[in-house]
Amino acid sequence: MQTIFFTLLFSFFCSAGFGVSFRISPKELPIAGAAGVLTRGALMLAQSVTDNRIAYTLAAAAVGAYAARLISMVCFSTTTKFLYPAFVPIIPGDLLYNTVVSLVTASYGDLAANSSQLAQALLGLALGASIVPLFFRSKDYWRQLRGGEGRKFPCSLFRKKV
Amino acid sequence: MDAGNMDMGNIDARNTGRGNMDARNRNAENTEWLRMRDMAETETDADYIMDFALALGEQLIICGGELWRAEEILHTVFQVYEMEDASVMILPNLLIISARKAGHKVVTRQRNIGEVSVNLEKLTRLKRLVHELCEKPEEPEKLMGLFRQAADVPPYSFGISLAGLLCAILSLVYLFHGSLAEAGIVLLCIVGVHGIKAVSGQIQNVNHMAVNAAAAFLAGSAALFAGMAGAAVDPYLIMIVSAFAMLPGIPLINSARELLYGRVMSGSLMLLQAFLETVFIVAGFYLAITLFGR
Repeated sequence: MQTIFFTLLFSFFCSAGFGVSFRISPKELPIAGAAGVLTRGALMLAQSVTDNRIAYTLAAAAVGAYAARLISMVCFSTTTKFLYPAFVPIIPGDLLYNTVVSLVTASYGDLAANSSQLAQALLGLALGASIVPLFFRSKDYWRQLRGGEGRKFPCSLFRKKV
Repeated sequence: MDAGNMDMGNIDARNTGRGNMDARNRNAENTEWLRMRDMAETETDADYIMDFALALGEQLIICGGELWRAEEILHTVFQVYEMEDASVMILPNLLIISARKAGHKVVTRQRNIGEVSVNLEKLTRLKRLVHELCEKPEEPEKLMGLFRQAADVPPYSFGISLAGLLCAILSLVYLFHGSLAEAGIVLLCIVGVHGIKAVSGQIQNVNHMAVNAAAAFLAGSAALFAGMAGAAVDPYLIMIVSAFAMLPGIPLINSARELLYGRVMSGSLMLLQAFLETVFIVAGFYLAITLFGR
């Protein structure tokens, strides 16, 4: 439990620290850190359930993207602002590094293993990050089908042909 | 026959004919001039809108926004201002837009995009500006002024950005189960890396991949010397954590998302660029290990 607490705590500082690099305003830094904590917590929870890298990365990315979306709606800001700090704990930087190391040192066995893991992590991340916007657009789609108004800021599905 | 008179008469006849022709020509010229003037006024509006869209698209990309989102936003701007036949092509280092006002010729703009420098506050303000324009479109000649206001978000000072990076990297040291001594050496390496990047940023036409390689070489050398001196148990941990300050994590994720959205060209380019940047970083570490490692 203590390990989990400190892991989440340092994930908070990690996301907030990278938030400074990403030029997030100071009052939103704690929120960015909290988004990172949610993502890391989801990652740890998903890793306890399954060993499949695609599955647990997808789950963590979906939670991070959903959290970023909700925070952006509450704070009247953009999703991207909280999405990047939320994804900091799950960026496969070590896998990318090890893949390139094995490429540079011509360790082809390691290269195959590391690149496979990297591809799985990226696929899970991309799928998880893409599921949430699809859901939010589908809500508008169904609302408009029922005769309601679409969002004022048009999305690609309803952009009128020019 | 008086040739002169006849000539005069002929001349007069010619003059009268030329006069009629001149009058017709002058009317035609006036009409053409009026048409060109009207076209010029409308094309100035189109020029304002296209200049705004070009600057907006460039900053959306430089500030770290997703390329497909930038494309959507530009299409939205064209829709708000009733520009027809709008076309937007975005690559990681190139932006081409074209559109036209109804009944007029197509206006095209193109720009090479510089290095990405993530600035999420500026990105937010630019997107908010577009939202406001959707609600209430401003006159085209005011657009660039509004853009400059929204884009006026200076980056954090060297000290503040370094402090944030240190906070993040030291957290990573803990997450990788590093010791306090290793954290201290990582701190020195990050200060050096950040300093090198800040200095190189002031110099024009410097290849940032080569700068990353140089910074990685210095960080790797420092880690190995610390290991030799007994200050660090695992120099490779120091190298990996120092690399996190340079690795293109966000472009890597965005490249995967671009590929998933079917934007194969931009996704492939971004993925290749992320790989190349990482190769240069690893090459810097590899050189340090080759020279100073056991």
